Amino acid sequence: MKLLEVRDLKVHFPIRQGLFSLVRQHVKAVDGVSLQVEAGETVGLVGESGCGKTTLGRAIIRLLEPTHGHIVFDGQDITHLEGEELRRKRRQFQMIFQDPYGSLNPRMTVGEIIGEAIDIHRLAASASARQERIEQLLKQVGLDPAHAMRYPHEFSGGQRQRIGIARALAVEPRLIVCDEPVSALDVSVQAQVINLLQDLQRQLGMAYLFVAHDLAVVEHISQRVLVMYLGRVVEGGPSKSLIRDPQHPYTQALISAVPEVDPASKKRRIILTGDVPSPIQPPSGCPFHPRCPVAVSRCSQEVPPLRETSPGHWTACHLVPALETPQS
Amino acid sequence: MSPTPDSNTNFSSAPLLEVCGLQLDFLKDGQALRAVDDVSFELKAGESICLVGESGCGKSVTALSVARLVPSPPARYVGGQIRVNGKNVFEMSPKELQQIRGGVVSYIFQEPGASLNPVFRVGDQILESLKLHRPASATREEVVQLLKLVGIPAPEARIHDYPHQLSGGMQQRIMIAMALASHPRLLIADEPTTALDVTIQAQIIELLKDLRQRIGMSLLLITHNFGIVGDLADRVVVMYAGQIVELAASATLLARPLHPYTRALMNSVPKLGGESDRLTAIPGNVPNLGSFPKGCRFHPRCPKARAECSESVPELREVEPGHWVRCPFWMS
Amino acid sequence: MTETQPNTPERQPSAPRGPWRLFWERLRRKKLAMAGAWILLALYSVSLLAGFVAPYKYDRIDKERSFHPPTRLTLQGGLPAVYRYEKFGEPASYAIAEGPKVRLRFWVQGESYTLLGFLPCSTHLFGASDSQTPLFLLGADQFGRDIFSRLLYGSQISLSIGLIGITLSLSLGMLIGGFAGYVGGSSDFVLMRLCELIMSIPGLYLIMALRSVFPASISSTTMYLVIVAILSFIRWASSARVIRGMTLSLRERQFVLAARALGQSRLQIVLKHILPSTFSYVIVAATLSVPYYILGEVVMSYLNVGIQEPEASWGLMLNAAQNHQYVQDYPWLLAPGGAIFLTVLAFNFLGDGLRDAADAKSS
Repeated sequence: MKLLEVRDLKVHFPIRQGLFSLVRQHVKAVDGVSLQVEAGETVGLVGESGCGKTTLGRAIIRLLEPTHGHIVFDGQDITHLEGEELRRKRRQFQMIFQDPYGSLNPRMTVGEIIGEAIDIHRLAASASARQERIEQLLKQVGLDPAHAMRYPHEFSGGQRQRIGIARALAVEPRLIVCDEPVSALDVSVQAQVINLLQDLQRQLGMAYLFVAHDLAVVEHISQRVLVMYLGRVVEGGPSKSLIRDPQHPYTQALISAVPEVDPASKKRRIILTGDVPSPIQPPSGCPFHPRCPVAVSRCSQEVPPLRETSPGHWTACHLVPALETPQS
Repeated sequence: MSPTPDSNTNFSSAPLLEVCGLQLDFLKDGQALRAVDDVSFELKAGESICLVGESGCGKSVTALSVARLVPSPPARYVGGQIRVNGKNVFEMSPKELQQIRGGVVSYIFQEPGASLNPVFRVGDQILESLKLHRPASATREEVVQLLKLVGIPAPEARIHDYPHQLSGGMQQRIMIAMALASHPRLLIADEPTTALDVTIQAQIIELLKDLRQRIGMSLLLITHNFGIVGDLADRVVVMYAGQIVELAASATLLARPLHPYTRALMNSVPKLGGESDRLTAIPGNVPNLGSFPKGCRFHPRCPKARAECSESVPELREVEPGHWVRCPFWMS
Repeated sequence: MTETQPNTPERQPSAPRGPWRLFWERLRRKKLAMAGAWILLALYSVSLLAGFVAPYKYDRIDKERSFHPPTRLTLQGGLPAVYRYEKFGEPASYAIAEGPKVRLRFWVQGESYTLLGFLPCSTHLFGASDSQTPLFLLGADQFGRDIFSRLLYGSQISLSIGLIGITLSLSLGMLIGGFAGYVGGSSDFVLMRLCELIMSIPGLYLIMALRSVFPASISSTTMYLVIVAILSFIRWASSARVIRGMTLSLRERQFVLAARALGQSRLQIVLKHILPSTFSYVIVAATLSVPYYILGEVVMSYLNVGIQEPEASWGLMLNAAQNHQYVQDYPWLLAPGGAIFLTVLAFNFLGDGLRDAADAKSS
């Protein structure tokens, strides 16, 4: 069942300059992204800093205003939902934030933080039901229910991330956007949080949009992966096949750049030259062409469309042939 | 007890850097908290060592201590020695220290943006570093040469740039150029790629590899990423809660880690193209400074812990030639 | 499901330590700040009980004892006593009289006053056993009024003006700054330009201009309110700007985003998340700007546009010390200056300590 459908979404930020704060330019953070998330599945979104993955994640749950395109959640177009209607709808899609230190209000106890979520949507009939629910949520994320009395600064990074997860779960969402949920944590703690997220999904059946820069983590947790570059999706497909058989030159370089622990694997590393261009004036044609090791002249003129290049696997590259029988 | 590389590696014999039984406390609210506890290792000229560990394990403090860069107070050196070229840095005069800093040992840090002065052009900053250590060759040509060495395109134009005009990867290259300006014999890199994207990280790793071959300098690399170890290190030092838990040649350690912590850490990271559905997580949290557990500091999180692990601190023992492990039960 | 983990907080204090408690614990370690706090506590308590502590009313005139010097204290038979003074010459000068000293008594009956503004009372903390002998601890002014008593009554105005002023200007600042910062857009633009306009006019001119709006002679109570209003009006703009800046950055903090994502209403986000996060700033700013109001009242009264005789305020009393010949001959006229100095210093010590305690990251 289709839970989320994003169609040609654009998020452009105006840059105001000069005496009268006139809009001179736009940062094209997200520049025409389409994606789908099925109920209960995990879709990974990878890319390097500045590729627009965080902006996309925030726009999808309406923390940022999309400039163009549509967000359809559970059959309802929520792109322009406002006020009370939007607030009620928010119960169904939640977010887990990157920074376990900044995402919890330091002046509230853990119980108040989780309780706020319960109160907003009036999910507890009585004070004791509310307390029970808070304790149940804390247990669910592997924390001691007695910790409801404590303040965030008394917890380690991994524990705070668990509190953030409990807050998101409190409203029983059907989709959670996880924005780099483990990148700020110690390596030995990351696996705990990843396992917890998987366990919770198995129990509660919500879908994840998992935004991260760590390919290995994204591959591990996701059924499907989308690779973003400069505000666009350049490749997407089932995670195993995408990692094993990347088709876009950027994905290939990205995968080859991940340092291997196994000393025996002597894979060839594709070293990209230069840096990611500015999203204010992205290159013409394919956004990757200035760094692409195999670019041809056509790449600088035409934007390659995202086409199905093998079953279930989509690539935006002129050099990768499309499937013979294009599906609708 | 000082773990040394096995004798058949053909590095020149005199160690460039010797850390012997280093002990360092941090003073907090009148309490002395041991941050580095009995850390010993040697680095031969031309060799490359990786210090691996998580936050608070003491790896950065150990590395900064080499040029006495840890502010004291709050830090206090309690015991041990650090010898650079055979001389103890704790007995050096301020002038001698000045010569060691930059002259023999150069540093690069995690945040290149924070280490560069935002109001000076990058060319001038490198020139400044040259004037300090090699006044004879403090020229524009030398600056351009250095920028070429670290792979900055169009260096003649870039020397007029301010740091904010450069990307993170380029800034890190500038930092490396500045560090190399003094022709150091040892480059200490503290998480040099952590703040960078994967593709940029790959560029910097290639650069460091290449520089080692061309200049023949030693490298002390601090990281939490085992992936980088195989690329850059001859030997690896794994630290946990202020102590060395394992030390070995990098190929050996990556192929066959012996300490339960090293194993658990390597296993808990998902592998690209890996098949497992579930990660083997290490339970619990990284212990904080001042609340290190008694006995073996890893025992509360160790899957193989026995009763005696909580009683006495195990010794770091050489269990195979050149392979040191702080765990008596490494064979199980 | 999840592994059985020892997921206890690293530090295990007996009770959860909230941000305020941590703040207090850090503050308690700052000696100067605590000294400032104790001084202020003493000053404000005495000020509240002015009628009881002061031996006389603020407006008791003793024409015979103009510029009487501070009465010297002594001991008689192990008990406190005061000297008697003889007056001679014109202009008058005073000398200690021979003969028996006058005992100092505590809990004496004297002039009636109302304690705390509602309790009619005539007991004073201390007084001379002989009501004919004057007790001028800090001397007397031109009209033979007791400076010590006037200082205490004056502190009721001078010390309270700071608290009321700060409350007014910070509430206004938080309201307008918080609104401008959270709503943004054109209302933000207009409000901030208004703040800049107010801040760009030199304070003294603004005081004089605003003062001229009101009639020259008005009752003391009205005058008091006018002074507070004028000073707060000048001051709110700068705090509004700071609060706006803080709101702008807090709005982007992840915990605020999280509240928005949960569907929390705008008003609740401002009330529950944004404004409480500015409290530590507000407390520090309040403490550090109380002296501004105290000094503002001093300036206004000194310039004769503030509190009017025979009421007492520290600024008005300093006004009497304008004449440098007076200051030379009767240096005790400067006592209110000492009181102002002590108060301002105590506020600054406390404010600095509060700032340091608030700066330290609670994590």
